Amino acid sequence: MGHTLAEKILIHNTGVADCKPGDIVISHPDCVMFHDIYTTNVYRKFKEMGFTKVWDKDKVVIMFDHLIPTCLPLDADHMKHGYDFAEQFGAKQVHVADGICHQLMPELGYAKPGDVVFVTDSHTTTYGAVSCFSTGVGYTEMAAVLGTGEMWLRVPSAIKIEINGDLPQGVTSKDIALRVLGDLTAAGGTYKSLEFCGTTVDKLTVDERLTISNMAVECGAKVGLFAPNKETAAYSGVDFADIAWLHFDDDAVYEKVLTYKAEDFVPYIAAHPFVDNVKPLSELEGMRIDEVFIGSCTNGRIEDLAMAAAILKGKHIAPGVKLLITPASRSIFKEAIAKGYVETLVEAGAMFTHPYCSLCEGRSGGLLSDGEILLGTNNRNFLGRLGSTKSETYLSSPAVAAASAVTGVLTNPVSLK
Amino acid sequence: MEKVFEGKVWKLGDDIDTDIIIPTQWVTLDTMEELKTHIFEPLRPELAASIRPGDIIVAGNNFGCGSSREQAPEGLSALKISCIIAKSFARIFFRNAINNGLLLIECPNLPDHCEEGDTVRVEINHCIYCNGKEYAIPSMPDNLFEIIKDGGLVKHMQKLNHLKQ
Amino acid sequence: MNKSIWQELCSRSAGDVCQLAVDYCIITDREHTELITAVQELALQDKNKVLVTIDHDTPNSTIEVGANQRQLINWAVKEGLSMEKCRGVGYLRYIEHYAQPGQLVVGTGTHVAGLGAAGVLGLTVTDAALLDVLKTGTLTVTVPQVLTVAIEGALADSVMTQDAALLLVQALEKAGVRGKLVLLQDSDSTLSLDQRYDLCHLMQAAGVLSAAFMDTAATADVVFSLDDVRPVTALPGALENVRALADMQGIKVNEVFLGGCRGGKLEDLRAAADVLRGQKVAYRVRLLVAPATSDIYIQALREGLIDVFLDCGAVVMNQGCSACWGKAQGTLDKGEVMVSTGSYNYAGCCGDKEASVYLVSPVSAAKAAVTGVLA
Repeated sequence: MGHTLAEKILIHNTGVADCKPGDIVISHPDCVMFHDIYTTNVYRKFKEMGFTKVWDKDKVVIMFDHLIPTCLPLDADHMKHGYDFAEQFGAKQVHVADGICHQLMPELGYAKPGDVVFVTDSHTTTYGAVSCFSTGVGYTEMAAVLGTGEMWLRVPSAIKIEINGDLPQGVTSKDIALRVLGDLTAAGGTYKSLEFCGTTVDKLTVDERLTISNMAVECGAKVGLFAPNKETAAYSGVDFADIAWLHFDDDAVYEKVLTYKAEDFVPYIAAHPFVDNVKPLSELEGMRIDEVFIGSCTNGRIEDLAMAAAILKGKHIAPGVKLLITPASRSIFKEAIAKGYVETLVEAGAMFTHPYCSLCEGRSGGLLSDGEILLGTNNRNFLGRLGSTKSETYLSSPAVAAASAVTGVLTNPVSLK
Repeated sequence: MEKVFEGKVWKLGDDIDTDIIIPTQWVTLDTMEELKTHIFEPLRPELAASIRPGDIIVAGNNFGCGSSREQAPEGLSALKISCIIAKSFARIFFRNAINNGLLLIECPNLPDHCEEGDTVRVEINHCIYCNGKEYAIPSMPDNLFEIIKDGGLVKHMQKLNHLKQ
Repeated sequence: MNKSIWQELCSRSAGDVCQLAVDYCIITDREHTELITAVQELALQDKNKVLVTIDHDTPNSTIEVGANQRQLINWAVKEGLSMEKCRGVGYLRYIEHYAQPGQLVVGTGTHVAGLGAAGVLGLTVTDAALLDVLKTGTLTVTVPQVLTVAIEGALADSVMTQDAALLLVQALEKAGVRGKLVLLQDSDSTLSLDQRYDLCHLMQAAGVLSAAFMDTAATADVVFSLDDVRPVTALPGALENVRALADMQGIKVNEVFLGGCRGGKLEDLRAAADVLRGQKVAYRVRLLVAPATSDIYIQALREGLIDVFLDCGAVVMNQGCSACWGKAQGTLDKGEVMVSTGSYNYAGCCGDKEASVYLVSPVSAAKAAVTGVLA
């Protein structure tokens, strides 16, 4: 009997002979990470539990990505607790403002194919793009894992999403993510493993995969997994032969299979105020926007910036529009400088910031006022998340976002002159 | 907590979100004793006062969806219910519940075949009996059961660390 | 051609009251909501004389600031006004793209004297006066007394005009300059535009009406030598509490800010990068860099300066006022210490009222970022 990708990784990690959806297994994470939002809570819970050191200092990572640059009271204090935790309890790696944690984890090799990784954040599903079983946990749970090196998991059932063919021009992996979320709905993937395959998926780059896995949590999924190929293995610095066992089994049991023809995809928009309120861009084209945000752990990678730069080169954003661009990591920022994207984007009128969670976390940095409309490449458009409850947020690909920044209305990049 | 127990059923529907379990305006209450009186308030204001220690909540799909507030499972724990049986649970709620010492049992068939006021018998890791029928439930490792028995993850870890010393 | 503002002033006597034509009226996103509402209801005398700048708090820290910015942006678009939207500090954008020597510019900010670097007279006006200028195109001015200051000599290594400016503020206060117009002479013709900006923009802190570089034949009232300037800091609380860095007892630093119009110009970034190249920001210290304008940002990219900052561990934010305006980028917790190239150091200027801000030059800031102490 075959296994889903999720089952394969859990069997590999836990050492159980077999497992089926619903079973509870004890996993041994290959890496855990907590970020600055929860450093204080983790620090306190860890002490309260009576631990004095982390179970494995090489497997613990602390990242400061939400609170730097500091913008609200106690932001600096949370960072202080992160440093204190590392010093007192023996965690080795602290990354300060090196980028959004969900970009850094795969980029720096903390999340690798076949690994099990836990992070105190819902978008931890991102690393499924590099075939890592990764999911979000609370801070109490994180404290316990840090002390014991163990965490129980319920084996998820799986939904297979098969996409074959060639995507039309102007359609991106973000559009795949939005379309699938719209079809599954916000609770349609709860607890499940979303597993992506097909000839279209096979050709997706690591950046494109990361976007899709990142958004898997928006339908409640526990993980969003891809099978590795040579390109993704090389990205993670592992030999493809060593992870070739992570392939799709023909006889694995999937609870549901969604099959798509890539040619049927169009640019999509997740309309205010739900991520699964997905509509073809064509239904909303021409709608006024006030602010555009390109960035986040969903779409702040080099291919996303390349897409935006290609559209904005030699153009200027619409007079009434603000454009905020935030790369996902320090290395992406540097690559974007080297390739001239940053210059192009600043020249076009963008505010180009350091890599961090930026507007997506809704604490500062571009908050919307009453009546304003944002088009963002991020992952959530919940009521009031990015500012006033009387503002609206729409989600799209970086290509649609860049084209719309030029015109000031929702615009298909293919039609932009 | 016993591995076998019985309890009286309170029946709820699908998509019981964390805002229904504990509305936002109450999450900052200082103690769980105050907070627990508001559990399920938007849906059934009388329910919190009616629930007795040992009672069981039976619900439909996606119980605990919505925000990640840990006050939801903490408040339910404070009502001293013996468990929640639902067709499915939202993921973060599930973990937060266990970590707060609240037993959750996923059982797809039971909710459609029991009524409020029924008594069900739970045999952990085995099955649930209700109205003469048996419903299979997934297995749970002993150490997970231990977390619930100890009253949550913090206390469980304290115990482990104390034993080690 | 109209007479320049300098010709206008020279043709009159101090104390005369006159109406002067205003070349530009700068309206920024730091204006009060009431003023922003009021300007929109005006019949503008000349739309070509209005410049809207969205620069102090970009991207906006709060919903309220966002609302003000949106009002201004929509107004500027509707009226067809010049606008510098999220492209950096307005005064420097003005110098880069609008300035002509002899212009008269008004705004409500306290650093409009910085325009004097380009030979522009920048005057700070009240909200009521600003509205009046927008309606009439002219400003009622009492012709000020003039104080001429000759800037001579050359700066030693690691000393910058930001150090000199802090000392010049002190010197002018002693010279009794309240309400006067300070005309600066670059006696040795060695000062760059960036350096001239530094020497003008803080001068209103000394109580002067404004300051500007002017080639006049007049004999200097005050001679200020750059030769003797040493690195200094303005201690937390006020610009006037200036102390030599050599006398500081090694203050432990939590955050360093390099940016804003005082420390984020191209020459500032170059000088700081020279210190930071190959170095790492000290453990637990946050270094925040914000190029002052888009043009500066782009040139800094081309020169590899942004790479230097990124490599040393800095946080490189977007062009604009950033931590100097103190609302969203790099705000401090209670008890924290920031070493800053900004223009403010009053209690609560960047986060908690019980945080301390020391003002220094870009070179001194960069050194503090590497060592973690101000010394």
